[in-house]
Amino acid sequence: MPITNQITRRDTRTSGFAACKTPTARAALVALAAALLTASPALAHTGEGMTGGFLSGLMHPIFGWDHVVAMVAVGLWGAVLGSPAIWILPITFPLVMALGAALGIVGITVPFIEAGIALSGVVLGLLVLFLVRAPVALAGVIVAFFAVFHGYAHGTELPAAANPYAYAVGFVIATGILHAVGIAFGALNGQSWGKMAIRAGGAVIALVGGAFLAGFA
Amino acid sequence: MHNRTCLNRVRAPGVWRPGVSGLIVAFVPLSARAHEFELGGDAYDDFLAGGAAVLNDLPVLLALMSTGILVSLWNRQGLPLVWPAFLVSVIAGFVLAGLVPVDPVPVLYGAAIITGLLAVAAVRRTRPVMAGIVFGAGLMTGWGILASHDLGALPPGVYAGLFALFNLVLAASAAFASVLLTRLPNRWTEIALRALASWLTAIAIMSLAFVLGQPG
Repeated sequence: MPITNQITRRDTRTSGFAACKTPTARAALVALAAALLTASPALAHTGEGMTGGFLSGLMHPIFGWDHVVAMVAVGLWGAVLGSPAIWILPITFPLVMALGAALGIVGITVPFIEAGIALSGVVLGLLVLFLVRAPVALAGVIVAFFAVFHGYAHGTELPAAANPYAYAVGFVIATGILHAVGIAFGALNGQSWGKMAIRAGGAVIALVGGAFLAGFA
Repeated sequence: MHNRTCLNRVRAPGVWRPGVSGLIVAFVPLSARAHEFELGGDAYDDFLAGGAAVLNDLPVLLALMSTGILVSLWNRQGLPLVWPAFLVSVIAGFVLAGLVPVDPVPVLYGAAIITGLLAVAAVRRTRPVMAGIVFGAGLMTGWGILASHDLGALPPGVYAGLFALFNLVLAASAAFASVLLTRLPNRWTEIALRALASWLTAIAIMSLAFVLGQPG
């Protein structure tokens, strides 16, 4: 059967997690999310050469809670919205984020970077908290807007000793992992108590963003 | 007030100058060389030098990987259908490199970003159109990687190494995507491949910015 036919047929599903029908599959996804969030990195060397550049890029988004909550929120909101937002948002974010990074690297000033990053946590957290079902195009625009701020910050904070190309690879992979954590957490959407857990996650994300916005973090 | 403040900041010539001048420099054709090959050994050393040039060239790798994913997203068994166009295009790119001097940066990164975006969009067109896309990818990468090396100036082994690795990387990435789509035939596999293509494109955009942002 042509793959396009399969896609058309399966797109009629309302939830992005229709494929994970068994409790075991859902539990595995949630466990993956928990493991990724609680994993503590062991760093012998950072910031030097190819390996250091990769690790610097990989750890840079993960070590900043303002980045973490926003990137997880992108995946989580996508999971709440279901198909096709569940994959369009996590594809949009790194592409536009790379453009934002490019602006920072070539020296074009973008104002209100820190405020934009903090605001992204607040807005995306609230969207998840209230399970806002925005149209996919609008959701894409919102995510793309905030991606510029995150990318710009990473582009201007490149460690001097790091290999820039390895940094870019690590940075993009880390972003994808954080989106995957959000999508995995969104797997709870199918559980009876899942929506409450997702709303609670949205509230935490909004609070963390608010703390950064107010200067408490 | 906030808007006026930001506009004033952005309009300041000192703010725009580095970025604009970087872009201008990047797109003005120059006779910059993408690679200086270490020659002097036997034919096998030349072959390895050519192959290593492909493996060490990030935009070439990104472009070929994205092209392989694009082809398999179009048709799981699609590579043999468009491979002849790729073979011709790489040779045409090598010839073009000796005839038309070019700055390799916009050519190679342009190929990586365009093919990446096409893979993200999972473009599905007729076989001639897909063959044309693959031809374009091979032409640009072949042209860029040998930028400003005169035709025939390098030992045959270098050309053979370049040609072999071009095809190996394309075939490996197309096979990777094809096996995934065949063994895990559900929509999530295709989505994962498109997400992977978006990562490759994002890496290409960021790397291009690093190149443009380098002093000198």
